[in-house]
This record gives sequence, structure tokens and C-alpha cells, in this order.
Amino acid sequence: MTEQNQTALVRTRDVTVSYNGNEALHGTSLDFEAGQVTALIGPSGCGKSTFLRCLNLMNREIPKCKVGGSIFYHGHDINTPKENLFELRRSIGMVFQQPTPFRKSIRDNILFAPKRHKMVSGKAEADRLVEESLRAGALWDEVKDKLDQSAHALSGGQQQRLCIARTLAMHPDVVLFDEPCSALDPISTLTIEETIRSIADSGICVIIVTHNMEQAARVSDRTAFFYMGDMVETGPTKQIFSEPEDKRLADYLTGRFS
Amino acid sequence: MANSARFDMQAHVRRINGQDKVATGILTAIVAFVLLILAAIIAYILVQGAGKLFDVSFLTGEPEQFRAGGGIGPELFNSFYLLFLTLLISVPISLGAAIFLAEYAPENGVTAAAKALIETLSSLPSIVVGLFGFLFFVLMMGWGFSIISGAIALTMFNIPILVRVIQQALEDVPRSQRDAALAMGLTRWETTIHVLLPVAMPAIVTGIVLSAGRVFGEAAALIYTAGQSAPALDFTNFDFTSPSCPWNIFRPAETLAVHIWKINSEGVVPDLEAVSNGTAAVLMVCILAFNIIARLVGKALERRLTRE
Repeated sequence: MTEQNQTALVRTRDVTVSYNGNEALHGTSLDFEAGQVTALIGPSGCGKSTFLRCLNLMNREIPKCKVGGSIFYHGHDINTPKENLFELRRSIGMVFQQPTPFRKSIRDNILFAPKRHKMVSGKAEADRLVEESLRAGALWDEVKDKLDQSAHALSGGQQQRLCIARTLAMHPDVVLFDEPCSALDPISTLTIEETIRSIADSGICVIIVTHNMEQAARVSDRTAFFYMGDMVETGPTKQIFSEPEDKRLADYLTGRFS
Repeated sequence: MANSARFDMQAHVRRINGQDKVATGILTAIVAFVLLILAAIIAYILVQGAGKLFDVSFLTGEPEQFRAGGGIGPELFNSFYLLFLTLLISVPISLGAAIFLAEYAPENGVTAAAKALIETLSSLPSIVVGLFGFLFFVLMMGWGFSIISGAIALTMFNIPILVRVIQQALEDVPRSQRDAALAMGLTRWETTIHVLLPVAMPAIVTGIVLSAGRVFGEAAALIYTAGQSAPALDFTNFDFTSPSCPWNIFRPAETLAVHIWKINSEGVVPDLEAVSNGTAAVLMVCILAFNIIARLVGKALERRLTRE
């Protein structure tokens, strides 16, 4: 996280977020590289999710929420009023805490957004995209025979993998995960962690918010620790977990508070 | 423990169990009483009108002014036609207004005022709507006692209710669905049309059909707008200026509910009571049908949209 690092895909500089005039996130500067997983950890209400929602400008959907500072994506600042949200969110995907399949078939869940964005034409291409996305989301083998069934019939873990597949169908180069496993059982969680790793290995920049420190240790290359609206410490995950510098991080890691 | 007064657990359990039983008993009795009254009213109307309910000449015949044996054919048609026109005007407007209020309106004083206004309008007495319609559509616009005056009066009366139902249905869609769609780069409009409306549809359809029941049974708003006369209808007449053309929206059109009111207040036919009871029974059966349809359609849509 240094100024000379100009190659990172996503760079934030002094990003602040305030709701109704109260600053919830203080100046945060972080860099995110393509092909890496960065975990954002910290206790509840520390600002990690708030920060994540800045990166695809989702905070703009919340009334009276103001985002300050600069967010560079492919080198240009997206935190400007004239930024095209719809273009941007096509290439910066997001997966939420609760699985959010649409009330459509599995196939239509995948194809819905690409069709709206005119990214697919023709049945063959659509079928190819459905298979490719579901394979990338590690769901293909389980659903290949029931693509036209409602996505709501899937289990919670499958629904979440569908949401990941749906995000990948738009060929994003950044994927944001907001506590993607907190509503899932341990087995589903492991499957999704493997998927997250393979997404990053395919060259996508992955940023994951988690309150599960083991998860952060398992999946991430770098970790940033947030506390009371401040980004306190960041570095390679191994270093963060083995040699924390800040006392607050050390206390958090040893479970003094959560 | 410093608890000096010995606490008698068994007596306490007996007491709260007793309270629970008494409360359950009272609530059951209240519900039973209300249901009994409702069932009695429905049974009374159906029994009184049973003779006419399956009488084809009554259902299709022309009303009589002075002789016995008049029918309610035109009234029956008018009621449905007026309902159809009312829904045709009020559903799109309400849908648009509700989508705006639920999805687009900024949280400010103007929106709050609009919502308060809609609340007020939805409890506006229908006779007031009727008199306003009389002054404005019938007299000022010069439309006379006509279907269009009636349909617009009913629209004014129906819109606030529909807006509230649809807005509630949209707001009941989980926030996460909205976020997920927006995070995929869809616009608010695409999100509303393709994600939110399908989820809200069963509740919206149920609301529309239930409001149809209210519109169908409305009398006060129509007495001075759609009028109290039912010209004989000729279904082969397609001259849209003729009062006997069923589709002519500028002809007066007495509905079932208005017919009941009229024959009871100024009717002179000898079989007044039988006609009035028969009309009431027909009206009630139609409204019961609307309620049943609302449930069935709502459930069917729900099933279809969440098909597993």
C-alpha cells in the first residue's frame, strides 16, 4: 500500500463515507491487484462493508450517504458524479451476504444481466455462457439437468454459488464478496472458498469482507484490518496474522473483542 | 437468595395458564360473533334472492318501470363495463404512481405530503367523490350522466387504494433483491420491471381484484355520475353515439348497486322487494366471486413464479 504502486487495478485514496453527516469511514487508502484475494476484516460496524460498497458505488443507492476521496479503477477516478454506474457495475461484480437468486429459472438467473447488457446473442452463445459460468461457480454438475427449474428450489449454498456464477457471467475483472459465507454451513463455505481462490487464479481481482478470521487466513493473499471506521493495518495475510504491529489488531486476533 | 417472600411456582403457573385460557376463550368468542353476523347477512341475502339468482329472464331481461317481472340485464352489463373501464384507467396510473413512490421518490417533504394525501383520499366518503364528479364531469365538462363520468369518479375513488396496495407489495420485496440487481449494473427501471414486479405480482393482482369488488359494489359515487337510468341495450348496435349502443361511453348507465338503491327509494313496481333482493344476491355472488378469484389467481401466480 504505497503511493508508488500505480499498477494496481483498484486503488483508493482517502476514501471517506458519511451517513447523514456522520463519518462512518475515515480516510482509507488501499490497493487491490488483479489475481489476488484481499480480505477486509474487523469487528462488526468497523466500516469494512461500507468500504466495500464504495468500490462499485453501491453506497449511492443509500439516501444521504456521501463518499469522499478518490477511487481509481483502471487508472481513472470513478468517484465522480458523471461515472456511468451501469457500465462500472458490469465489470465490478458483487456477491452479498444472503444469497439473492431472482425469482427466475437457474438459466435465466445467469442470463438475465448479460441479456440486459446485450452481451449475448443467440441460443448457442447463451448456452455456452450458462455452462461456463456455472462451471466457474462450481455448480454445473449439480444443476445441469434442471436449468429451467426455479433457482429458489436450490439449497442455500447452491443459491450462493449461483449468485457467484451469475456475477462471473458478466466477465467482471473485479468481484466483491460481502461476507458471502456467513449464512452457509461449513461444507458450502469450503466449496465457496475454493471457488473464490480459483476466481482469483483466473486473474480477477477479488476483495472479500469477512468476520471469519480463519476464512481470511485460508483464502486471502493480503488482509486489511478495519477498526472503528479506520483502516488500521494492511499487509500480506501471513504477516498480518503472525506479526501484527498494531495493538488493536493483535487484540482482535487473540479474541479480546469481536 | 434474598427472596424472603416464598414464591409459589405452582400457583403462578395455574394463574397464568388460567389467564391464557380466558384470553383464548374471549378472542374465540369475538371472532365467532363477527363471523356469525357475516354469515347471517350473506345467508339472508342469498336465501331472499335465491329465487331470482338462477332466473335467466331476470338476469338478462329489461327492467320494468311499473309492471312486475322486470330484469336487471342492462344493470349487470353496466356494472361489468364500468368496472372494466375503471380498472383500465386506474390500474396503469396507480402502478406508475406506486412505482414512483416506492422506488424513485426521494425521502423529502413533498413525498411525505403525497403519501399523506393518498391516505386521506383513500378514506374519502364516496358520496363526496360522487358529488364532485357530478359538478365537474357531468356539468362542467358537459359529459352528462354517463359511463365515462362514472368511470372517472370510480377511478378517483380506486386510485388511492390501488396505489397503497401496489406500493406496499413493492416495498415488501426484500432489499437484497434490489441491491443484487443494481449491483449487476441494471438500472432502477430494469430492476423494477424485471426483478421487483414479478416478485410483487401475486400481491398486486390480489389487491387489484379485491379493489374491483369494492368498485363493483359502489353506489354513492355513481348515483350522480353514471346516473340512475338504464337505457335498453342492443348488442347489435355499433353506432357509438346511440344510447342503446352498449359500448357508448356517453350514455347513462345504472349499475346493480345503484339499481338496488333506486328501486328501494323511489321504485313503484309491485315486485319491488323481489327485484331488490334478487339484485342484491347477484351483486353479492359477483363480489364473492371476485374474492375467490383474487385468492386463486394470487396463489396460482405465486406458484408459477416460484415453480420448483
